Amino acid sequence: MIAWAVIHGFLGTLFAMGLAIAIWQAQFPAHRSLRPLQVNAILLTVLVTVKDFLGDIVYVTYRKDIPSSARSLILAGSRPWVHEIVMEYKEHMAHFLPAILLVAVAVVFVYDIRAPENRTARRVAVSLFAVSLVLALAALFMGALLTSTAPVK
Amino acid sequence: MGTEKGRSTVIAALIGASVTILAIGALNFAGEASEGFKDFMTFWNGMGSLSGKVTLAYALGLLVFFALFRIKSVGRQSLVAWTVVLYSSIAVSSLLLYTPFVHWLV
Repeated sequence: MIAWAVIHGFLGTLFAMGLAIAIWQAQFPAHRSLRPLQVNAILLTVLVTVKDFLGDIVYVTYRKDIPSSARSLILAGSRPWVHEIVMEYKEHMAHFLPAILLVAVAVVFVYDIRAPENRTARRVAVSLFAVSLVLALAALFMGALLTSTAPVK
Repeated sequence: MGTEKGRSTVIAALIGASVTILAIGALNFAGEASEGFKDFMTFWNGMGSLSGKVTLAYALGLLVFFALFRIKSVGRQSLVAWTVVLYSSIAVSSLLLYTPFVHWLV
């Protein structure tokens, strides 16, 4: 299970890096093909869906009703809020991201964001990637906090 | 500007995503308020009530998307306004997932 948790974290890091590239591609699209941004947006949507699916697999082990599970150890330790607040938020919030990314895919395929008349659509696309990046970085930080408190074994 | 059908797809996607995200928060809140509802949301014991909340929220969002994306008048809605609705949904849902706030209310 450690391997799945490591892959989940690695995909999370990759996802954040991909989002940073998408922000740059959407912010400065002039005189370039939109194809790389469109491909990146689709790849990011697939990546975050796989990452969430792996996270759900890890979550099953995390929440096992046995004394040695990560959740039991955290709740019995000195920082139960790490589960009660951080994990409770992380496990739900991670599932916001595929929905947000699907909207971003629709925007970059429907609008030619290089055109001056589509400036609003470009700003919406950038903001969608930026909000996703903020949520992804928050999830990475929360994952690090959880792992440092009690790693999933 | 995108085509009318394309614009409808984007607005429908924004509304569908807002519904999905709000539903995740609302279902979590309902689960915290009622133990029976939490049990009802447990589609798979391994994942607990999270399995039901996420499945139902995405089913609702997809239903809304497919109901709206072919309607031409949806494409005439404001892109900015529905983007603001999406971000407001994220904020409200985040509040409904914040355990101290939920426990303060129920």
